[in-house]
Amino acid sequence: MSDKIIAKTDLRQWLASLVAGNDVIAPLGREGGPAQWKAIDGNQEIDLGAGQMVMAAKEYLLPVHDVLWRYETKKGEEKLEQPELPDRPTVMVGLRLCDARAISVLDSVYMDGRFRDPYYATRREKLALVATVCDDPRWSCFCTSVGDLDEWAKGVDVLLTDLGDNVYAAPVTEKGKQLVQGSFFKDPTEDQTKKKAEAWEKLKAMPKKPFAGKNITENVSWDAAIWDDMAKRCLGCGACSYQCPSCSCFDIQDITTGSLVERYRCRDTCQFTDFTLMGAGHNPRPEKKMRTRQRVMHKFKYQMEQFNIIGCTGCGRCIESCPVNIDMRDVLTALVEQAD
Amino acid sequence: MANEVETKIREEAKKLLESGEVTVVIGWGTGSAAFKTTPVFVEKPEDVEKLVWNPACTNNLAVYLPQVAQHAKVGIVVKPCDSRSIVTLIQEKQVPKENLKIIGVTCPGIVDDASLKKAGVKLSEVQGLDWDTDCVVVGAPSGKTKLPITDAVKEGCRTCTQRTPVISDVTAGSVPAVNPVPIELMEGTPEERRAYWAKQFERCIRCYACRQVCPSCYCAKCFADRNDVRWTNKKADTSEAWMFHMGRAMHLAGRCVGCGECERACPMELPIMQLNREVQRRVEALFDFVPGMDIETAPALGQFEPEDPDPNEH
Repeated sequence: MSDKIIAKTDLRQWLASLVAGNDVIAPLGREGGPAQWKAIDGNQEIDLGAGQMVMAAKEYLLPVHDVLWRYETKKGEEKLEQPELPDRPTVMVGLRLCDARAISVLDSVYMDGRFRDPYYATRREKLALVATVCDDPRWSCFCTSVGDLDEWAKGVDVLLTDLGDNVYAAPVTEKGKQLVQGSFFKDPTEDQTKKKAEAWEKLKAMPKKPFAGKNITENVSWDAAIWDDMAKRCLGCGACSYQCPSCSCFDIQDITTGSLVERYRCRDTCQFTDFTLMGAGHNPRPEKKMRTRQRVMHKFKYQMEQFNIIGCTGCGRCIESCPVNIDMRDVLTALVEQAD
Repeated sequence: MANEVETKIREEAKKLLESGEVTVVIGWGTGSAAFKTTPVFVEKPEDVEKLVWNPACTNNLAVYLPQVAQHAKVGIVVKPCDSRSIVTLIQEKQVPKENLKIIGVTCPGIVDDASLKKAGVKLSEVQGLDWDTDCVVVGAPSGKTKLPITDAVKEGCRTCTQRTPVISDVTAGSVPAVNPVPIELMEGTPEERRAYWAKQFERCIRCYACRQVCPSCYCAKCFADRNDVRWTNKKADTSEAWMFHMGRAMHLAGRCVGCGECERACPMELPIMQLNREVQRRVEALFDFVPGMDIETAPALGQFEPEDPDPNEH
């Protein structure tokens, strides 16, 4: 593919040119709280090396609440409304590779050959991913211990690398090549290409955890002692999975008033007591141990068996958000050490 | 500075476990980073070395008591705010007092990720945390930095006036000389405040971390989870989140001890403590009651006198 260079001072112009033909979703600052993924109009200042967002990139594909349809009767007239789904190409910029990889995990759940979720798939099929190579991993990051970044990089459309005053833009797909267009793009010098390669190697050289390279799927044991330890500490909130870039579970609920029914989809998590509670009162996962175990087993075993993909990308959000400091890295280390 | 207290905690925990007075001691243990601790459940005397005391001991461990101490003898390490939660839990009959052995610690104030970041600390470089007179000492590869306590600690700790536990069988540490900063009251007209809170609640993702870390939120079935009567929808939008947070704030009236754990746990940075503090301020003004200070004083909502003020008239 034809790699390009763009000066940082031209990035805004590039984004504005993308906005002309696409919906562009980018990390947008928010007053009083963490930045959010939002459609931009091309006039805002966007930091493409924004670092990790509190909410993963799935915030666009699976909004925290997503109206599926709304049915209303007014003066005898019936009205059925469906939500607006994108009708033009969409480009997501500024996401990290871990979040991009997580979208591959979500793809396997929501648009695997057997099933196609129309809400997810309509957004996803129009979506191009412009990811940025991390140059400042957080304290909680462990991507290189659960995956092969070279493989992950194949799942994006353009990969950006920060070179100081310039950004190196490497199209990965044909779709990506179409995005890296415009007079502000130059051909990279040999030195710039070298620097880009160094940044990539530096990221891959991030210190590895004891479970790196081990077959975690085979080591995730139903009877491991770590489940008891986790269950004692876990408080049963949903911070870990609501922020997880690859957690895919949802709930569907209706709001009904006298004349209106709105059906919406929202987040749900196996960590909540009522997640598996059935209408007649039976709960197959009544104990906390079963619920904390489920989250890890699902990511590292069931998803592997079902879709041949690990459902964790090492983004570290669950580690940072856990109010009692349950650290996925410690859990995985305990699992492989027990197996050894 | 924290070391003597830590040693004392371990000694006391060991005594309790060796004598069989308790089957478990709940305390803070080393976390997965230098600025983190994690709750530990120590069951053997030889494991008391797992207990630590440092500026990252943020968890209000009283949250575990309704589950753990109903039918078992439990030792627990508490900060002053946590001790007030215990008083509240005893008063509300969630925990029998006779099941508890309380190891109290005096507290100069606690830090968390957000407060450290706000004070300009780069989390990935933190190697250790301790207190010194009037400051929090942050160890990093480049050396130690002293941050004034009121700059480094959690919002609730900045304004805290309770530096020694209100209830304990033994207390470790001397009374720290820390001057609290005054509480900022909620300002503006009702319309301005409405607009402000709409902006805050808009961010809520309904993960319920605030509720789950709260020792006072022990309801077997939270009103927010009920679907036989839908008080609030799960949908994460402003009006539904408004109902949840206002409902929670009202349920905590006269019961919130101000530990600040809800605000710390919130991934979306909702200023939940502003809400709780405002409610407590009004409860105090109307009923002259501060929650969790002693077991004998009946809680504001746990008693009724015909001459009680009617909040609707205030």
